[in-house]
Amino acid sequence: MSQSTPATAARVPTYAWAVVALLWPVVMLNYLDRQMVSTIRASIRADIPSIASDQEFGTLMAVFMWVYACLSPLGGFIADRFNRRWTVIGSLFVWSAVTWLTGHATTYSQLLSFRALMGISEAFYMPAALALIADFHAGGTCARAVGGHQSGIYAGLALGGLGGYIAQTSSWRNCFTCSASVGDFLTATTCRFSVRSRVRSIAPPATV
Amino acid sequence: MPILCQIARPEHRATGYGLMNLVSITVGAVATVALGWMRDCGIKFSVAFNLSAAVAALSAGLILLVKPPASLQLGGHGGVSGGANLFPKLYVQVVEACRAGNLVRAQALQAQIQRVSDAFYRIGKYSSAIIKGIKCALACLGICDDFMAEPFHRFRAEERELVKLRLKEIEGELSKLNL
Repeated sequence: MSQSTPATAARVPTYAWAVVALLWPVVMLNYLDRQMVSTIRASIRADIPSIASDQEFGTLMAVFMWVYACLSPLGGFIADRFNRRWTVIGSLFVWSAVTWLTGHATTYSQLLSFRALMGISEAFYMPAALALIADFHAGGTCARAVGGHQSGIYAGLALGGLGGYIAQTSSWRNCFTCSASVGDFLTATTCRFSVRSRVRSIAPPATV
Repeated sequence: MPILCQIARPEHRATGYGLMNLVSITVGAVATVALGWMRDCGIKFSVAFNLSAAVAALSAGLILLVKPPASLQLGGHGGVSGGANLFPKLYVQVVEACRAGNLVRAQALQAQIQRVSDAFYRIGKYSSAIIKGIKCALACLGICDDFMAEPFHRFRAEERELVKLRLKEIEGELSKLNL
């Protein structure tokens, strides 16, 4: 926490990019986990007969989006009020647990509640992660850093198709259990390599 | 997020992004429902596309209205301001207006500060222009001599005339701002 000493201050730019690198697989998984359900629709419907119609399946997607949207401001507020690092790690841990639960669901109502829980837990990631990146990239590198992080989103969406492949070759449940274990691994790495929160009180002097 | 960083204090950024998430997803959902409804009503897709293009153009226009505020509004404590030697009231009042939350006044004063910078900091071709300009203007106001240590030299008569002319202009503008 001694950001003011010259040695630490000089190290900040490298660390600022390390933050983006550490968060990239996390945001990739964030979008992979939310996307996967739609790529393995057929397998899930075949396995869980209590999903009566495609409309009910559509509700699974909608309930996630609505919960996610409504709780995003709260997620942001928690990240502002408390600690961004722990908001990111907590979010990742909980949504990985929910992903694991999704892989073990046996009824429609279970799936529905797990998707809602997914919305709650993922709502805490994006605002905290982007604000964390912006904290470290206070100079002219903010847009580049956010853009780099953003590319993880599209990688996650693209890899969502991988779910379909796993579902075809083994079982759709494996998609979720695999992804959940990747999430646990990432939780461990983000804790270990400490995505730090930045001390924000130090600002460069302004000149007019 | 980069635009948000220009207008929101660091301790409000995550909340701001959360609100943007809420609005964008809600708009997306409403647009999806509206497009479905238009399709059911037999409205052509091209109309829908034109409509969304118009909304996009409008949004682009709105983004241009987002003006990054000065560092004071972002929580800065002040600035190192050369022009304050010439017009101290102007610089004191911009800080006071910001503290009082009077953004309209603060922006008018900030624009005037920019006028001072443009008027005195760029006379001649040398990068020493800023210090020569300030000293020359101070000399014209009778505050100090504009003698400069070697290797710098004070402005010659013609630049001095230009400084005098601009001082008159700026003083006129300041009186309009009750300064």
